[in-house]
Amino acid sequence: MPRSTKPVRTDLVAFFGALSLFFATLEYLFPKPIPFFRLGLSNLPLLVSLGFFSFREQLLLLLLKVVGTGIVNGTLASHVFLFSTGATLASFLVMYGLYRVLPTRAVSLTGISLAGALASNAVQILLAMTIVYGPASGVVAPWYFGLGTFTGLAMGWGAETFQNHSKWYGRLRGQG
Amino acid sequence: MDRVKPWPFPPGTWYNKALVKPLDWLFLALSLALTVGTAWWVFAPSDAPLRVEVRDPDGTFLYPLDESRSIEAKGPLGITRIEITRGKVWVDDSPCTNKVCIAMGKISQPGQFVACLPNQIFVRITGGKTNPEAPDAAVY
Repeated sequence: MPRSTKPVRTDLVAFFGALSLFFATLEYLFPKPIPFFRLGLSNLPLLVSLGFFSFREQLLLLLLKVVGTGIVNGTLASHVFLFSTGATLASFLVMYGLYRVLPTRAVSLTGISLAGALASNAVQILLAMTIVYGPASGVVAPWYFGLGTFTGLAMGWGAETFQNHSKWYGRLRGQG
Repeated sequence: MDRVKPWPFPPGTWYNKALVKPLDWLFLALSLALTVGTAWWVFAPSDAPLRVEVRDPDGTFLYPLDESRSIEAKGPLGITRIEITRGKVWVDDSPCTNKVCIAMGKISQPGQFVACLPNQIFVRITGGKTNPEAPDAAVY
């Protein structure tokens, strides 16, 4: 009996995890205006997959993204990993919660991405101020929130456009 | 998984056709409010004289902005060298990997900062007006 060529869900989680790593590496192409600020490209797979992954599958994807990025960037055993984990977890919980609770007519992936960026940046600043660098690191807050607004808008708009126009994504949602 | 639920905006309206939905504006407003609020907190004008605040793991050090000097701040990676010349401050050398602190360039206005996070060094300009009778340096 021939094996099915249809991807199983764990394959999809792995594929989206690999996409996250690819985007995390792409981020190195862009100059960083302030230390540790990230565009959030690697969050795009998390954002796009909100529509068809369960909570546990999303958590697995998040784990792949955080640990994989830590290994690829060599930050797994540093405080950067704490930032990355805290920010990604906060951003995911906010995005997942809003996506499940709010109706599609009320909020698009743009708004959900903005809320996720807000949570991610707030957690990073709080971690920096309370655990890693001390209160003086709060001076980066306006830059983080300001730039985070622009990148959150851009990522969300990109994800929303992709969701509305991609046939591949449409087939995935149908399968899910 | 279908998550479409009843909502006051009927199908076919602008909100349903466009990529922007009503609550998107709320999150945008929240983001902008936080940006403006934190900017006010960081950049709020002060009557104190202009000073360069250098924070390293050993403490916080204040220097007048109008006197040229070279400062060596010690962090976990080594020495970060900071230059103050003609009312401008910049990181001249640092042992960090990415050298973002050096790429941040020169700062001269209150509220501006340069940070070398891997070496845990923060440099910012505080105060709002120049005081010629200010002490050369203060340590606490």
